[in-house]
Amino acid sequence: MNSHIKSDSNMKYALVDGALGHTGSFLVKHLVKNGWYVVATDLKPSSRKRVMTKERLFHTDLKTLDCRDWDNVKFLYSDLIDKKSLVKVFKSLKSTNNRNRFDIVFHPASLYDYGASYELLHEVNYNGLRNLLDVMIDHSEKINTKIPRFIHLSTCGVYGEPIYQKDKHGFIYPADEKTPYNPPNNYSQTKVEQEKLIIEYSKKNPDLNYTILRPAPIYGPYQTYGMFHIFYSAYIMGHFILPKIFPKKKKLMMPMIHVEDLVDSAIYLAEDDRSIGEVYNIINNSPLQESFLEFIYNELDTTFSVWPMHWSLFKIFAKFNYILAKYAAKKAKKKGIRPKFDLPMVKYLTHQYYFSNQKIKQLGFKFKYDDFKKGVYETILWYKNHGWLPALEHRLPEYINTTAKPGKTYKSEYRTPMKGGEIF
Amino acid sequence: MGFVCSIFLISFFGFISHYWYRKYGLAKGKLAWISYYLLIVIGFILLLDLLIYLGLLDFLIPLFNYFPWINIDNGKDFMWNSFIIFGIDWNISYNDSGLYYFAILNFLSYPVWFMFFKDLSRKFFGGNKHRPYQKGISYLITSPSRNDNTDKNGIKIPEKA
Repeated sequence: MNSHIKSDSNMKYALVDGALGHTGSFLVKHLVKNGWYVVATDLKPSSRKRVMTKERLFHTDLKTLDCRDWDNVKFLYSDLIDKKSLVKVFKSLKSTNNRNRFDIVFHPASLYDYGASYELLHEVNYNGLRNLLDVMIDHSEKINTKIPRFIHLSTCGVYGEPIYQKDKHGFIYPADEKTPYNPPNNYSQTKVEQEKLIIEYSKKNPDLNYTILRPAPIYGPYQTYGMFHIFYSAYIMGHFILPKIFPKKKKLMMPMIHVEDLVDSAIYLAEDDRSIGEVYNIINNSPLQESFLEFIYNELDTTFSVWPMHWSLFKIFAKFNYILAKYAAKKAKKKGIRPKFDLPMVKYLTHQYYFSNQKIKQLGFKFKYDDFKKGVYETILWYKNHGWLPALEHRLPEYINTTAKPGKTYKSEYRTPMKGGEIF
Repeated sequence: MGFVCSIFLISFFGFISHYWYRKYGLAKGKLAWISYYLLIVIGFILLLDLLIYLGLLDFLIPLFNYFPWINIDNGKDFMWNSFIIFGIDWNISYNDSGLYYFAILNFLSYPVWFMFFKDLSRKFFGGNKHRPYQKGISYLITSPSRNDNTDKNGIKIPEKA
């Protein structure tokens, strides 16, 4: 565990938990780049392997952005459900940096796994957050300082499939942050519980300045669960169907956020006091699902059949897929292994998700990857270059010579049959 | 075997072609396997049907007519009304002159049916020779395999000393 400290008096101090995870690791990277000092925490490798079974789903050679040896990063192992380990984290700054408190606590750590049981999700996500808040508030009271600013990462999944407002032609408007909760699965349910817990704590402790971020499905390099399912499956299948749904007002949207935009927005909101006590959807401009699929099929060399489909037929098609996935999940359970697709993921097939990002844009934040093509192209390229998507094999047959030999020289010059032909 | 049965069989063999190709051909680098497979399936069924249609196997018809519900006149009748074996008589009058051209079209369509279902098979089971990692749409419905050196949670089992 190294911590190379290059501190100065203006340096800000942040705590990032879940720092070996996808969002956490990018967050640490961007904070350090912006001149912050970061105490990063995550589970011990043995515990992580036990809890994060989703990471070995595709048998890919997983690497994470490992922040343990970076400059201006102090890495500590801790567990949200172990209060003692959290107390150590809050005391750690005193010993190395002679500083009492963190300026900001980022909380991207959570168990994001649709296959996990509600009990486990509740234990890690809800009880874990409660422990973190308890320890953070207790520590601040003990040393008699302000409670650190708290940035919590939730999910757009807390809305479920909202009831959208429509224009006179029946086209929907994107849902904003005031949309009521309607979590469709256990994971989203625990995220709702987390948000309610933070609001409850802030009422008890008015000094708790929190901001809640609700990111759409996250994609980007190193991402291994959720969006990676789409990229990997499309690539490995080699051929798929591109349903073009009609009527137009029923076309599905593709909500997503590039991980770099997410962490940049988290840092931006953390530094802007106008965001205190507010909730923000963190989402790039949504393309149509069919545009997204067509783009990734082309990028992944996946051939596809375009099927114009009425919405009602698409729903039947999706239901059929759900039954197949249910059967596959049952079979996998019998074998004692994880299914390729967790059932809540398959349920998303027919759900319309269209969320507004106007609130954060009005604060002045600009997304780098609002054009999904840039982010998706870079992500696919990263997956290919790092072997997360199997490489193409263009093996030449044995009878083809591959060793270079100098070409023969001809006795007579060859002229092209064109007028005044060039001499080669 | 009858036009309907033959087209059904050819389609079936075409559809499972890439399954066999992946299982036995591609994995062992026998890239020509699917061509042999095509020749065997089409060649055998086409030859057999031509022999039946031209009446060269008519001597076998009394064997079928032994069953009370079967009443086949000759090879042509069998080719058009082959489901009579299962008790379904479509009563197609095989002597109509128009059916002669239709029969030629049917014979010519055998490779087309095969190729159509072979292509569908490639999309379903994978089998692009330049992209052997592709598993086709069947990837969605097959259950995942567990690595031998991992336990049920996917955690690597330490090797025994």
